Amino acid sequence: MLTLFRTFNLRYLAKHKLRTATIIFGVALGVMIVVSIMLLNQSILRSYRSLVDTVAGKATLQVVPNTDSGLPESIAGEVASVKGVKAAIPVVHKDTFVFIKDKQSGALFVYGIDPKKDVAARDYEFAKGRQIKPGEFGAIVVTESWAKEKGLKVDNHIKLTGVEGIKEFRIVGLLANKGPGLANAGLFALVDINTSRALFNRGGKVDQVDVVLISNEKSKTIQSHIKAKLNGRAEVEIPATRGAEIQKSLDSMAFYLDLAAMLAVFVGAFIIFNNLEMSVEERRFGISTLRALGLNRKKIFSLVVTEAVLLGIIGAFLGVILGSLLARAMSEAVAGYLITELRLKITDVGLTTQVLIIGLLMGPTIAAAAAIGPATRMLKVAPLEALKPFETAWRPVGSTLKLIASVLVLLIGVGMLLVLFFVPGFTDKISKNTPQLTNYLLVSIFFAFLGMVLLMPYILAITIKRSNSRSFVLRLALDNLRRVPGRTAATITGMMIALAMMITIVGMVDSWKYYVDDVFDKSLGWDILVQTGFFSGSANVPLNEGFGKELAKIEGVQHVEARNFPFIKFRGYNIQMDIFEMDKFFDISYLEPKDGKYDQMVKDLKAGGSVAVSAMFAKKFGYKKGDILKLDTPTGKARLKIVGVINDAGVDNGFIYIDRRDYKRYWKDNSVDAFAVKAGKDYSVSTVSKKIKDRWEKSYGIKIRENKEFRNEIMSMLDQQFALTNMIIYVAILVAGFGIMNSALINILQRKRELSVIRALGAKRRQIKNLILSESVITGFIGAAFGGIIGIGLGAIIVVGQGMIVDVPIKYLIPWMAIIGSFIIALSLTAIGSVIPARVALKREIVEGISYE
Amino acid sequence: MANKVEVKDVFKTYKRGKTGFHALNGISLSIKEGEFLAVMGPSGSGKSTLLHLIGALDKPTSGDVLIDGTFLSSLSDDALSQIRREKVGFIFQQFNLLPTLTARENILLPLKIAGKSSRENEKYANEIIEAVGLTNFSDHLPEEMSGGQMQRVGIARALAIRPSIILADEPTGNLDSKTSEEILKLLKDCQEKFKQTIIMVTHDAKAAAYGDRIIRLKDGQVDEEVEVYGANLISNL
Repeated sequence: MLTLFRTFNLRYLAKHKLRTATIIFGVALGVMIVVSIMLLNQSILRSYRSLVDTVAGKATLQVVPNTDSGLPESIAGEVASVKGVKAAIPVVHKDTFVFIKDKQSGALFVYGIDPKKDVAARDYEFAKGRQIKPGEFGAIVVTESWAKEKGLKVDNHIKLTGVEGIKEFRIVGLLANKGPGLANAGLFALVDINTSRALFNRGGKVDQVDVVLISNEKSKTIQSHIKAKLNGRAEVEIPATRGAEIQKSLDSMAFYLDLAAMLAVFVGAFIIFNNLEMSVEERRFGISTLRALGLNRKKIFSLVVTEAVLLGIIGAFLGVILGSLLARAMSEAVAGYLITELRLKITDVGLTTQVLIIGLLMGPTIAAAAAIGPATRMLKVAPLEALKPFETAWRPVGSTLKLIASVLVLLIGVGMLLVLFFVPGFTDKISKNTPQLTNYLLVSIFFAFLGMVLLMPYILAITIKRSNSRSFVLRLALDNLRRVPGRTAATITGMMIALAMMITIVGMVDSWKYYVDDVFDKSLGWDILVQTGFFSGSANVPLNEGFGKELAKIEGVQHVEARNFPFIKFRGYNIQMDIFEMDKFFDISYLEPKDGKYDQMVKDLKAGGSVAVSAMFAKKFGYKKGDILKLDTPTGKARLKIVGVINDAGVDNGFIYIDRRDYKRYWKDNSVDAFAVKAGKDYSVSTVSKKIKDRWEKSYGIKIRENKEFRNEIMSMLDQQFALTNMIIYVAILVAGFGIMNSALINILQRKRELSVIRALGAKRRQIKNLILSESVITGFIGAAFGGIIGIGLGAIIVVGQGMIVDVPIKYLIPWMAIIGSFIIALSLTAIGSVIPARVALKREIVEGISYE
Repeated sequence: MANKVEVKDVFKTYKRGKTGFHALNGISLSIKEGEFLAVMGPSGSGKSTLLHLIGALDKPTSGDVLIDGTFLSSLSDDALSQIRREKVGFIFQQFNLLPTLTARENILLPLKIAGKSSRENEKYANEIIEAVGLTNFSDHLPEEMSGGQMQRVGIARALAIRPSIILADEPTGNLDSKTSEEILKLLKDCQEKFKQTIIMVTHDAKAAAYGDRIIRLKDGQVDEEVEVYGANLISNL
C-alpha cells in the first residue's frame, strides 16, 4: 500500500506542483483564519490577565468601584480592619494623555501610589533613577521600555493631561523590564497618590484598594468577609479571575469574527474539494487501470483520502504559521479599538499549545471531509472505464435521498433563524445570554449555508437549461457548467458565500448607521462637545464643573451642560450610564420614549430620584416602566424609579439615563466627562468652537468636536468594529475568485480534447478565449446573484431580529451599492481569472489535445 | 488536374524527454484536386503527423505545405483557423464529438463556429444527415449512439462546411467490418458527388483500396506509391 501510495499519489503530487500547492493553500486558508482569531482572542485575555496580575503584585484581592467614579478614601481603612487582612493599599489610577515637547504622544496608565504603603503589594526594580517620594509633586516614574521608545531619560520632563489642565512632570526613575515595569505593555507610570488625586479630580477618593492577606488565610473567605463589610458599595475581586469580565466585552466582536472564520473554512473547503476533484479526475484512467489490475474499492478510497490527509497536515502547518502572523497583523488592526473600548494593549500574540493542536487537527479533518466526495465518485469507476472513446454528457445531479437531506439541512438552518427571531419566548430567553445567542446564530447560519451548498447542484440543474442560443460559445459554456453540476455548484457557492457575507455585513452596518443617525438627528441637540479625549474612551481625563462656568462666559455660548458616560457593573455586565443635567438636557436634546409619553417622562426625570433605561436594557434585564431599579453605589444601594423606556440601541447591554444630581448624590463624583455646548442663534458654531479651542486647547489639552464631526466619529467606530471581519471577507472574495479560476482550469484540463476539436474545426483563438471567459463570468454572475439574494435575506433576518432582541424599531436597508459592487467584483474577478485558463488552453497544440492517450 | 495539396521537403521532429523523435523526414508529395489518397504505414511512420500538417493543425519543423498554392507557413494563426474552417473537413478515429451536443448540433457546429448557420446551410446539413443515414438519430447525444453512428456524425460534420479537402484519420479504426464498408462507401460517394479531395490514413489494406492512389510511409518518408486500378493490386502492398 505504501509503495502504491508513493508511486501513484506522491509522484502525481510532485508532478502537479501548482495543484498540490493550491490544495495546501485551501487548507492553510481555513486554518490560518481560525488560528489567527483564536490567538487574537486568547492574547487579549492573556494580556488583560497579565496586566491585572503584574499590577496586582502580591495582592490577592482587589476592592474596586462598580463605576468609574472611584471609592471614598476611607474604604481602605474599612478593608484593613477586616480580620485576616495584612495590608490594604490605596491606589488612584487613570489613563491620560502624554505630551512630550508640547506634542501629544499617546497615552499612559498612571498609577498614583503611596510609596510607603505600596511596598507591601509590589516590588519595584529600577533600571535607572529612583522611586517617587511620599508627597513628591511633579515627579513621575516611567518604564524603561517606554522611555527608550520615546527617547527619554531620567530628569527629562513630560506633561500629562489633568482635570486642571496640562501639568509638567520630571522623570525621576525608570522601571526595569520586569514585574510592574511590564504592566500595560510598558505604557505605565507611577506618581504620588496625592498628585494623582489632584490631577484626576479624585479628592478624598481611591480607584482601587489592593488587599494583601496574612499568610494561610484563604482568599475566598476573606473576599466574602470584605464583601459583607462593604455591602455592595464596591466589588471585591480576585485579580486572576478578572478575565471573565473582558470575555463578555469580546463576545460581540467575536461573533462576526467567528462568522468570518466559518466563511473562510467554507471557501477553503471548496478550493480543496475542487482541486481534489480535479486531481482525482485526472487520474481516472490510472484508477480504472488499477481497478482492472485488481485493486479493490476500499484501497482506492484509502489512497484518495490518505493523499488529502497528507496535504491537510502540510496545509495545517502552513496555516498555523500564517495564522500566527495574521494574528499579529490583526492585533495591530484592532489596537485602537481595544485601547478605546477595553482599555488594553495586546502584549503577546504567541502561539499556544491548544491553538497549535486545534490548527493541526483541523487541516487534515477539513481535507479528509472534502475528499470524501471525489473519493466516493472514484469508487464508481469501473475497471478500464476510462478507455471509453467518448465522455458522458451529463453527470447526474444526485439522488432523491440527497435532495431531501439537502432541503432538510437548509430548513434546519433557516428554521433556527426564524425561530430565534420570531418566537417571542425563545427570543427573550436566548437573547439574555450573549455567548449562547452567538453560538446559536453561528450554528443556524452554518446549516443555512450548508443547505444552500448541498442544494446548489439541484438549483443549477433547474436554472441552467439547455440553451438554444445561436452563439456556439454561449451554448457550449452553459452546457459545460450544467454537465458537472457538483463542481459548478462548489465554485459558485464559494463566490456566493463570500459575497453573501459582504452584502450581509454591509446591509447590517448601513441599517444600523441609518438608525443611529436618525436617533442622533432627534436626540443630539448640542453644537459643540468639549472634552479631553473621545466620548467614553479610556484616556478621557475628566474636567471639573468650574470649567463649565468658564465655558459659559465665552461670547456666543448659549447653553452649557455637563455630561458623564461612566460604566457601571450591573449583574455582571458593564452598562453605560448617561449622566445628564436633566433640567437643562431637554432644552436642547430629546429622548424618545417607547410609550410616546414624552412630557410626563421629562417631568419625572427633571424631578430626580428616577431613571430612564434603553429598551435593550429593559428587555435584557426584564424591567418595565414603573419598576424600581436598584444600583450598587459607593454610598450604598440607590433605588431609582424607571420613568421611561427609550428607543436607543447604541451598545450591547443598553443604557441607563440618570440625572446628574442623583449621580453626584450616590456616587459622590462631581467630575465632568464632557460639556455639551449650544451656540446662540446669532453666532456661527465654527466661530464659537474656535474661541473655545484658542482659549483652552494648549493649557488643558481639550478636544472640540462639532456635532457633525462627532457623528462621523461614531459612524467610523461602527465601521471600525467590522474592519477585521471585512478584511477576512475581502480575502475570502479573492480566494473565491481564485476558486473560479481554478475551476476554469479544471474544466480546461478535463476538456482538452473538446477544446482541441473545436479549434480543429476552425475556431479562432478569440472564440476559445470567449468560451472560457463566458463560463467564468456566468459562474461569477450566478454566484453574485445568489450571493445577493442570500445576503439580503440573511441581512434582513439579522437586522430585523436584532431590532426585536434589543427592542428598537430598526428598518433593514437593502445595500444596493454593495450588491452592484458584488456583481462588479464577481464579474471582474472571474474575467481576470479566465485569462490564465485561456492561456493554458491555447498554449496546448491542437494535435496534443485530439491525440488519443 | 491542378495540385490541391503539396508537401515540400517536410521534416517534423517531436521532443520526447531529452531526445528528439523524427516523425517526418523530408517528405514531399502532391495530391491532385478530387483525388482519394490512402496513406498506409506501420505505427510511428508519420501518417497522422502528415495528416495534421496538411490540415493546418500543426506546423512542420522545416519544409512547407501548400493548399491551393498557398504556403501554410506564411499564414497567421487566424488565417490557419480559416483554412480549417473553410477548406478542410476532419474525420477522426475517435469521432471527437462534443458529448453535450446532439448529432445534428455536432454536425452544425463547424457552421456555427464559422458564423454561417444560415437557412440554406442548415438545409444542406439536413441533406447530409439524410445522406449519411442519421435522420432518425439526429436528436441523439453521442453516448446514445453506436460507433458507426458516431462516425457517420463525424463524416457529416466534416462535410457540413462543404470543404474541398477531407482528412480522415483511421475513420474505420473503431468500427466493425460491415460498418467500415458503409463508411468507406460514403467517403467514396463524397469524392464522386462533391468532387472533394480525400486523404485517408489507414492500417487496413481493404480500406486503402477505396483510394485512387496509395502511399506507404516508412520512417517519415514515402516508401512506396501505388496507383489503384483494381482490388487485385492491393496484394502488392
